[in-house]
Amino acid sequence: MYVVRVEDLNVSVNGEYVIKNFNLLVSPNSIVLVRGPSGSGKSTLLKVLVGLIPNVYRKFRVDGFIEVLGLSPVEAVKEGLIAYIPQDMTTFFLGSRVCDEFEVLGRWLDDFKGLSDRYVSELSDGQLYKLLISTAMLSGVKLLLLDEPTSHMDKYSLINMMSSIRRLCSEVGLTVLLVDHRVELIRDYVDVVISLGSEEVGLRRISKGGRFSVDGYSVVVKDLWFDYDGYEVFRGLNMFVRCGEVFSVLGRNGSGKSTLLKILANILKVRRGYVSVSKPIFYIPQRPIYWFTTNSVYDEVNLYIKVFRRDDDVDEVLKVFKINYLSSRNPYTLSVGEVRRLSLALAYITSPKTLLIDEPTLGLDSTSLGVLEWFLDVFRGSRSVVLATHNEGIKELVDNSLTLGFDHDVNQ
Amino acid sequence: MTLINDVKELLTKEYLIKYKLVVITSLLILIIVVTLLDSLTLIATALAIVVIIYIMRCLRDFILTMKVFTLFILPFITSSLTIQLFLDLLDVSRIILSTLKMFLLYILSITLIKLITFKDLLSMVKYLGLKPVLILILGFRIINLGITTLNDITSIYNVNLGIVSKGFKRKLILIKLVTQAFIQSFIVRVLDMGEAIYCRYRSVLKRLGG
Repeated sequence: MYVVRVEDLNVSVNGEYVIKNFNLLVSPNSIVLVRGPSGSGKSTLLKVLVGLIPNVYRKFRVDGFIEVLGLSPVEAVKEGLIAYIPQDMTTFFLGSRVCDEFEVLGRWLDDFKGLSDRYVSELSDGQLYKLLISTAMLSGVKLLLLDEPTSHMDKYSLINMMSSIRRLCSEVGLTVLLVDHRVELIRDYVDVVISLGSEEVGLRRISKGGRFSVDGYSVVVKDLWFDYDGYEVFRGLNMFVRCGEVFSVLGRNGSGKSTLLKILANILKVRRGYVSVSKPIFYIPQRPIYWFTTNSVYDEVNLYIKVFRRDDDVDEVLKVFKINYLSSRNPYTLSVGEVRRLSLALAYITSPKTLLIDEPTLGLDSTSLGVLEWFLDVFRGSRSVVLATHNEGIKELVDNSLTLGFDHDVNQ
Repeated sequence: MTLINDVKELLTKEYLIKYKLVVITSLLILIIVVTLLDSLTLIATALAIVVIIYIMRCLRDFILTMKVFTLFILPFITSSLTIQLFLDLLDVSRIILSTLKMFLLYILSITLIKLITFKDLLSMVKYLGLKPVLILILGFRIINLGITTLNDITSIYNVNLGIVSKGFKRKLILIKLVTQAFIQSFIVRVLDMGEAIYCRYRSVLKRLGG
């Protein structure tokens, strides 16, 4: 008997196919990875398997045979056999604090004792991911559906998680289906890799640069101290980013990367320390993933061109960022990778002196990574970019970096 | 100014409430008090406050809370006093009564938020049934989600479009963009929350007896 059986699956919305003729068989106690580029329908597949599509999202049309643990997806969810962990996790908690989640379960998780009084909104994505997986395990699920775990977890947390999942597969009969595009990080732990859609690589260059002449430092942080209600994040942090430099802030989940970016963007105020950032700033947050104004990708790009009085051509920008095929789509219906490309396009139009990107590789496939690489090259030398990420692979794309540790140790 | 800063910090850190939100709430409370001026008696108000102090069980918390609310009630007292003096209709007992009622409303709301835990809400399933409790939980969560989303969107737009918002007309445009983004983002996040209810909490609530 298969844990997941999908035959001739077709998923469409408004007559457009998201998934076409897809077949999948998942054996018990196995870990299956479905890979594919942004927008290939990976997240949609998980939503179909958990019954969200078409039971919650009724506009979708689903044809084909789907069976999960011998039941329909809705019945399997009713029985509490499936746990699904999406990309945007903050909305997946009903309680404000971590302890609220423990109240629901009626049990405490020792690993999270230190975080129990913290607000969910203050936790990093990696911490949220670990919390969701741990609570799912406690609920006795048989099938775990994970959407892009590598985007949310640092290398060490990811290895720990995959090792414990591997162990649980043999010990308690857990089966795992995950969708991701960074196969290399989890290849050793996966039994089967299945592809959805095809990836294309390559970018056309357009000239951009030299709008500003720069020298000196664009970001200066001296003796920065910061805490969340006594939970200390920075103790005397120093950081310097030269003008025209692409700089990365590295660190494990919860080490304060996003907090630092919010401080640089002046969203969080500091009580002690000196922070100076060259303005104008453009900030691409890790969450919320969606923060757009208009009803189409075209209108969104056009809006920024008008507001910033640029002479860029909308179609040209859409082509460069590989989102021209999405021009009529509502930004809120895009996949995470597509949203990140749109965000980069908006940053490109505004041409800020300092660009802050939180988790730049979030949801990016090889096409999107190519866009990011090109984008950083365009900015390099004329403007400064600060990237906060747990992905150490980003070091290859940056000029300088700083690593945040848990004991407030910093390496630049 | 130190008091205002302390208040802001207390509201945002301790109660996770935006300062501006409390100002708006204060205005609403002023309207309620004016319309319900004779509905409560002074003794009942005083008794209720004593009960609330007992419930809160921490005098320090209570004093701090009163200090916060005084800041919002003070404009009402001052304006009432001024108007009464101007019209030559000074009625100190009326001002005291209204002030106490306002304190009562504030304290009741904050006590409710502080006292009702997620566990309490879930335990009500047995007595109220699943649906009303779910509505209550969702209500609390949606308010929280709305505040968080508004904060997030405002922060992002202030950073990214703040530079072009100089001048009154441009500020209006920024407000319009923020509002549009907030509405869309909020709807998406509420839908995401629906996913959570569907996936994560259905079996848990079933276990609790719904």
